Amino acid sequence: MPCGWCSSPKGRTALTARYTRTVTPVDDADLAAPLRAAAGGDETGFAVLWRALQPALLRYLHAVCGDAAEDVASETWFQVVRDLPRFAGDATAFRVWLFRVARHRAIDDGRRAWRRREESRDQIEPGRPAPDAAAEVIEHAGTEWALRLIGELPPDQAEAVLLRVVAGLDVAGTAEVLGKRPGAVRIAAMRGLRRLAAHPQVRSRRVPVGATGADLPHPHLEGA
Amino acid sequence: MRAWWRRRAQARAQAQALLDGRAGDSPVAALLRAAAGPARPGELAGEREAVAAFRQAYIAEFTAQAGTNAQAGTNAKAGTDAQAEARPGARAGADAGTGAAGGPGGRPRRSRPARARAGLLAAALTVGVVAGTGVAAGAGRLPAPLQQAAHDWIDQVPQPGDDQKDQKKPGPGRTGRAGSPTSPPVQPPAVTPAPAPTTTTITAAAVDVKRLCKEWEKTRDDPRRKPMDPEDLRALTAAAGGADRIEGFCGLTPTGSAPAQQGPPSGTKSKKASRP
Repeated sequence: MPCGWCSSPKGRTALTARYTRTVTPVDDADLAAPLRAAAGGDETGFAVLWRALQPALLRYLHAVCGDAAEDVASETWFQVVRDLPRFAGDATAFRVWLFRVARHRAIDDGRRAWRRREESRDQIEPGRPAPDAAAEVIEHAGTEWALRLIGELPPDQAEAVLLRVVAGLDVAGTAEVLGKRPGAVRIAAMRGLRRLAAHPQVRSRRVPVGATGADLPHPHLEGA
Repeated sequence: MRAWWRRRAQARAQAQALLDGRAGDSPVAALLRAAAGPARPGELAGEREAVAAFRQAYIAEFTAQAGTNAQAGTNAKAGTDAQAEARPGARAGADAGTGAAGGPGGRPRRSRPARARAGLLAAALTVGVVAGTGVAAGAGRLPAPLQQAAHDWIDQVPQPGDDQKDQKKPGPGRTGRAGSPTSPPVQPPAVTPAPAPTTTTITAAAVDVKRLCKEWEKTRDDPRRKPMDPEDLRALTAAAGGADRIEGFCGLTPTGSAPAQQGPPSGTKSKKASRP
């Protein structure tokens, strides 16, 4: 079927945009040097890497294996550190690798986690009180809320959305982590978004207060 | 049809833009931005532990590398990898390797043949020990309790005390044999008197070689140290098959505890074991 839309100016822009990533939570370019340093045994480099990726890792793992997230994250880093001296890829590959290891570890940990998550969702911790400005508290509350909503999606959709948005992977990387085809990842993520858009809490939040960090030009995790 | 297709494609493009964090001020976009928001305090709590684990892993890694570099070839690598596999975090290495091909996937996969080698080596060693024990049992040279057990399992194996050489433990000897009338007539032991070293000699020799090598290495590296005991040196030279071969010979013996290497040439084992 000839694709009129693809050759239209609008379609072309959209397609170009789709294949050139402009924003990731932490730019891979910023991680290249720390990654090299860490692979050479440099602690500071590793700390930068860890700070940049640990929050995303925890958020993803929370959706996959609930309360075991922190343990699984530790195990993941343990394994990654062990094999890091022999790692030859770039920062993007490292990100994919990290999340793939994490996913395998989480699955090792048992799929029951999905069930446990269902049960424990009602008692989500209210977030540790931050000593900083009230705005930050609200911001974290917004993060908490958003992650909770994403976590309520069906597992495959939640994973696809989190890997794309929070972990900062592109479609190919997400597909690699999930062991799926890129098309399947696109569809899962899109369905997830559609479901989120239809969520009553999202619909009622028509005005995103400062809570969501809407003033940021793009979502950056701290610490890069 | 085409309109439907266009709408669908547009929706897809929109979704991808949203997921890339580029799009707009819709509630969903805001939600996604919030989900990727700055780190919360609890999320960075484990940094010190993580860095400590990193330090430890790297110390282990580099010492292992230094050890491996001193040794030759692939067998040593298999040993290191086998040790790494024993650690708790090791299992998913194989899992990660099963994923799609990619930069990082290559690494864990590479360790597979190494692990296979280690496994093979261990299996070969086990077979060797078992076979050695079997031969020793056939020859009636095991310690009395073991010999008794072997006899209980396999009728062809003589009972302890059958062997005239084993005079030290006369206890369960003849009486035990007379007390089991159902057992078929025992064949005369050691039809082919193979020079079978017992398991105890093997380990004794391995330990001994390890100790001698360590001694030798220390003496080599530290000129102020007093020279080796001539008796030990002679034993080591004999085991290595020449004074100039000691280095290579010792290099082939693992520095760690894994006995996953070939021992000295078998002819020297009994000789060395009999020395202490």
